[in-house]
Amino acid sequence: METEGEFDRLFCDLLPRLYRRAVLLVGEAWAEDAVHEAYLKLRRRPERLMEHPAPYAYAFAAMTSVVRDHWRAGRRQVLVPQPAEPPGNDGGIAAREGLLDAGRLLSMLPTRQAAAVLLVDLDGYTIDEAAEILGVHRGTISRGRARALEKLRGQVHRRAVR
Amino acid sequence: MSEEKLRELLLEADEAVDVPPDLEERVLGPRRGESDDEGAERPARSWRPLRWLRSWGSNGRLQPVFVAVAVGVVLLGAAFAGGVLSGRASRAPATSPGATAAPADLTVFNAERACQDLRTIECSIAVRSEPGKKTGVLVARVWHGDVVRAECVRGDGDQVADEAGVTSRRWYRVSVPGSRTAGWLPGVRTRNTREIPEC
Repeated sequence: METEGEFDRLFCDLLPRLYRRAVLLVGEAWAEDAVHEAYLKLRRRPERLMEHPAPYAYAFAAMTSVVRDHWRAGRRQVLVPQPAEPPGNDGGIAAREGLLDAGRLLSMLPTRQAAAVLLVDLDGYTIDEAAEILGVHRGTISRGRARALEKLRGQVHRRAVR
Repeated sequence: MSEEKLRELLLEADEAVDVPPDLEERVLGPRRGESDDEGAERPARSWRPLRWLRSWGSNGRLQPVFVAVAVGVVLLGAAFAGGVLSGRASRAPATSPGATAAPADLTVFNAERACQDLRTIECSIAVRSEPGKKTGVLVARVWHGDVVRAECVRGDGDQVADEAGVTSRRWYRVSVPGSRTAGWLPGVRTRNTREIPEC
């Protein structure tokens, strides 16, 4: 019982950060489900999270695994429709443009590569650390980041053309 | 284009995410271990049947099981419904049209739900002068719930469809109590279950 309470408290500390990453990985509509499924998965063996030297990294890897299993497999190549050019009074669309761009960018990558980009470029892990967290070869991380940068260049170029 | 730009974009996106204030409760359900009281009842784990169905359905390993169970349930349901319906049909007394036919009171039915409580012109149902003709002259208006006296019926009138999609060529010769008028009412404007003599 005490272990469960400690586990919940630890997970709650990680939750806002995990949720923000989930939004980038699967979008706002699915982010809550993703963190919920990750919670259920981690709770089966709470001691693993609690005893892990880097709980966030462990939880993030679990969430990536959940996302990979449940959501991304069939949606990897589905592009988000390009939103219309925001008018002057856009009701807040412009403020969220970065979020839309990032989500679109990451949705073009396989889940693990997208997760690797988040770990390295947002969370500040090294490529080797991210590879270890996600249980993949460092080359996978490098390729993911290279593809993300390539897509990003394309996006910026398209925006400049408009 | 540098890695800096990518980091900048991700940071900007990260900051734009609004974390719902009740996220903890929604994700974890009622908090466990919040109280140190040993005797406190353990809150139930949040149960989200649709979420579980969805995850079952999308889980590659469980998908065949999920599909098999779903198909089984559908087949059982269909067999049960079929049995019930055929049982009902076989038990239902046979009726020969006209055998018990007699003029009867019918209740006007307007399938347009928003109109059922309104007695406005827009929600009225026309009683027409010509037998079975949608273009007949309007001789009276009736509304949902009104009772009219059906004298006879003919089944070769213009086809009328109501808002619920029910169609019929039957038209009743009706008299409207209180107005001393008589005319023709489309069959779909009632939900009649009684035999009415043919005109």
